[in-house]
Amino acid sequence: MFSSRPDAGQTFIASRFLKARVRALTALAAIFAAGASVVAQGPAQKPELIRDQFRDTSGRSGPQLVSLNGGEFIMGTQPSDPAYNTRNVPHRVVLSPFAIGQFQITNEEFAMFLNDRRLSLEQTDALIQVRLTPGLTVPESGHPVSVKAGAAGLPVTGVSWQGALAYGRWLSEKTGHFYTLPSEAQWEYCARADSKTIWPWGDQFDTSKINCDRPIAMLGAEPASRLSQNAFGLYGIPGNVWEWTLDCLDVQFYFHAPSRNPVFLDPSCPAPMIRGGSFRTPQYQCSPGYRVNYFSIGHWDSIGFRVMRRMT
Amino acid sequence: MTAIWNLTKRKGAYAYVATAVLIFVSLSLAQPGDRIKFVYLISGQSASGLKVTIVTPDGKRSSYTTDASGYVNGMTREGKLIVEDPVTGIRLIDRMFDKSVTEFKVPLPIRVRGTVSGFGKDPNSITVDCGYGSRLTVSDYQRQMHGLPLVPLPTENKLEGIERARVPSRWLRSKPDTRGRFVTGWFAAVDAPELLVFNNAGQTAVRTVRLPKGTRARQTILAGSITPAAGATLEVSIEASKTDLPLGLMMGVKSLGLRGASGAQTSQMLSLLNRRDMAVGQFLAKRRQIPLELGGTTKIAGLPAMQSLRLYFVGPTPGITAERTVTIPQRGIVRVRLTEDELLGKREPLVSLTGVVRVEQGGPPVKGATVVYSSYPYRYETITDDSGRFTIPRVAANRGGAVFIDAPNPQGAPPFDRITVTRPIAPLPRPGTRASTAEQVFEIPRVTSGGRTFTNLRNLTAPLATSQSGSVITQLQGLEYIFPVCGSNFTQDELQYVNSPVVEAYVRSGEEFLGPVDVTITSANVEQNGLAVVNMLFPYEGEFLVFLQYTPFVFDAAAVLIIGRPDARVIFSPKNNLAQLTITVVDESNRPVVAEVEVNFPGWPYAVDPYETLTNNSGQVIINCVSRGPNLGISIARNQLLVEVNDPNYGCFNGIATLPEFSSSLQVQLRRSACGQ
Repeated sequence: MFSSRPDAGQTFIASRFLKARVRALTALAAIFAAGASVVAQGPAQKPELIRDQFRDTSGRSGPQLVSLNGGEFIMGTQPSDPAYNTRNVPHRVVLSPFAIGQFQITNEEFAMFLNDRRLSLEQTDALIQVRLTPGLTVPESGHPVSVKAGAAGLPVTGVSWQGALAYGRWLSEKTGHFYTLPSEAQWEYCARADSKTIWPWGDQFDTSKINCDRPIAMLGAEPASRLSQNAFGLYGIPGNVWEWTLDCLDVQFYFHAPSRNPVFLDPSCPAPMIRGGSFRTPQYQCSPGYRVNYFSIGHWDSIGFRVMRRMT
Repeated sequence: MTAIWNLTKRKGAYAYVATAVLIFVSLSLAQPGDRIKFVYLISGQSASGLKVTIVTPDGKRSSYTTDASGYVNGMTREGKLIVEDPVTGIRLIDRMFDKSVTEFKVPLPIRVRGTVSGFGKDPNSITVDCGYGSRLTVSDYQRQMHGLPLVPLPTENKLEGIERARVPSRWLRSKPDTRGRFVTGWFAAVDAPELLVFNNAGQTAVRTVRLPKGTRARQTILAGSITPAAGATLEVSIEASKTDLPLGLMMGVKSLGLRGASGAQTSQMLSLLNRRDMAVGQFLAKRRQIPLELGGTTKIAGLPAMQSLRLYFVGPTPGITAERTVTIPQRGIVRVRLTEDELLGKREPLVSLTGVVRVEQGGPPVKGATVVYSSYPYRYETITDDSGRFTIPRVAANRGGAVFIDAPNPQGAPPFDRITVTRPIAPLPRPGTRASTAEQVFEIPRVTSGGRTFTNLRNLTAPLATSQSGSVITQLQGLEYIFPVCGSNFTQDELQYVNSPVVEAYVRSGEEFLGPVDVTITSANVEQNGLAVVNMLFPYEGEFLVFLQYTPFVFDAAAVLIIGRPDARVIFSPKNNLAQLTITVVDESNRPVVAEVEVNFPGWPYAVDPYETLTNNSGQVIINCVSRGPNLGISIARNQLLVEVNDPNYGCFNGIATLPEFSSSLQVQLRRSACGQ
């Protein structure tokens, strides 16, 4: 974007400022691009609901899942998508069958995990930012964790990436099936839900169908019962709260990632990818194709997650 | 009235006279508020024969008709007021009633007639848009009509010093007949309507239709004959195939030269372009890039005449850039051609890349790892064999690239039973050169769920490296630094786009430093404590300032004098570090802002993403480990931090914040007047 050779009148300071500004303009251009259409392909999904029982004698079960066949779809954004930039252009991705949480994990579900683990305050704080989660109360001893009044059905927020992964490991132990976070590709596949438009319901943003870009007075996550269901039977995707994914940031990922089940795995990832936007983000960040890492944008109190279960 | 009727019954015939007098008097003494006058805008004439409806909050509707003088008597004074013209059938007023008003100005119901010529013979390809109603700024029009999330800026409606004309908020569309004649529908005019005529080829004309004071209601106004005033087409063709540019190319406007153009006309044209084509309107206003057709020609029709239009082209990879400056005539085609060499770099001969993937610390070879070598725009994918080896046979020489490896993780538990490793690859030597093309070794780190363990952190050497400005020192694995003063736990991962230190060089010219300049890193050695030895080649003689950026806030700079030999050994060490820097963001009244005001630090080398963070509840941002910079006697490089805050509520700051020499806290004051500067 910039000339690498000295240019009369281009000072050191100007150069550094200019670069930042032009980058900002580039970002703005992607933001303000408007219009339509992202093509999703693949066999039509017949969502099947499954719920895994815990192997212990508690009678409890894991979160409600939607089983998906996977298949081929076009990941990324078209130039007409407000989330478009040249790094996330459309490309073909093939996914193996998997199941994904029908809802974002709730405070009640996460509290069940924490209370089962009986962690210290310090250990709990590494999994969920105790001071920043609006839905749970964690005593000085670390447990038992209680759900605040009215927050049981709300998505849990303030969960760290490690916390979300730990929840997946716990579910795996409890059910005997492999649970973790969805990859970016799986998440986007679910968010698009076979749609051929910018938003799962069409090309126009519709506040009645998504909890995103809310006025200040209405800021907040919603329980699943107040969210729309997409064609795969999933609730709150995109929007409501950001969702952790399994991937670590790689800017050129779309270019050099394998086309089959792409995922960037790094257990010590400092800035994992989050997807979906939240009640407080501008519309374009809720686009199914918008990708960003927590390091850049996320707010702890608006990041949650849903689980993915391997089916193969 | 009952009293008057009783009086007539008691007093007989005389009483009728008295009654008549009383009625007259009672009407004459009626409160002024009981009679409301409706007057047309523009003409000032009484608005007679209009249907007036009041809808009260409880849903009750009352209807009236204005008399010959434009009055309505005894109107309900609460609720929503709707005024309609029964002749033209259009609604003139639709608003809440203001009790204190005794006279309503009513928009004038008119229509416009005219002819268009020079737009082609197919009337279906010609559009006549008639704009009327209140005027909005261009930005507000885009926000309200297109729903664009434009961040409000004080100068958002100025372009190259020209104030952009306001845009009518309401539009009426019509088509001409085969002879070019058109008549708009009836509309409610509040001032002079604006006509925007355009065809599919982008030929465009704008015309403001003046309304004389004597304009009557339901009059058809003559707009005269309208011919195209703008309609140049910009054609951008790329001499590179879609395959060669798989990730796209964007075109943006750097500047417009509007000198010599009529300010008002240009302003009006630039504003109304939004109505004709929102994308072009925003493109010219520098608020949007346009994606280019790959393997074809991109056409942008209907551009207004401009003395100069400076365009830039940007690809998905930093470093791919081109610029063109063209003159846009009133009509005709302006062609821009971008060559493959410009966009992709010069074609290089093909060589083989061979390598082996194995577990670090002398571990076993990794079979079945997916290896992707990408050197934009080229991409190759293969899988390692039983001995962990792979060959990618046709790789462009002399180009940097990256290897992406998806491998089984020998020690990882799901989901990290596989692990991803990426590593920049130094440009491969051309065939016939002395440089070695030996097999490269890619090590898969031993990773457990506890995190990655680093080995061989010290004395990593890059035998060959890139030759671009903003060079990333290649062949280095991630370093976990232990910086002086700051302590440990600082990694290059804090740089979002690269995982190695970045070098930038600037050349002194008088009191200025220009650049960055192209330098070549021939070898580099970086240690955990930040001590770095970088051997570099400079393109010409001169005095250079070289930066090495370790993490977003840790850097060092060195002055280098090049006379004769072009190479230099540059040593860096980030010595003057602050363990922690607290930045307090305050508003114009010196009060700390509330939480979550975004603070950007844009001053990093290009390869590094701008760092941004949010204030806490005390309006503070706390950064761990910040370099003050070296004692070079060059004030520009010491204690200066580029900070950018653009907050619509509190104001903006965009410039250098100077770190106090003996303090680890800094205050940044936002000012509304600084926004948009």
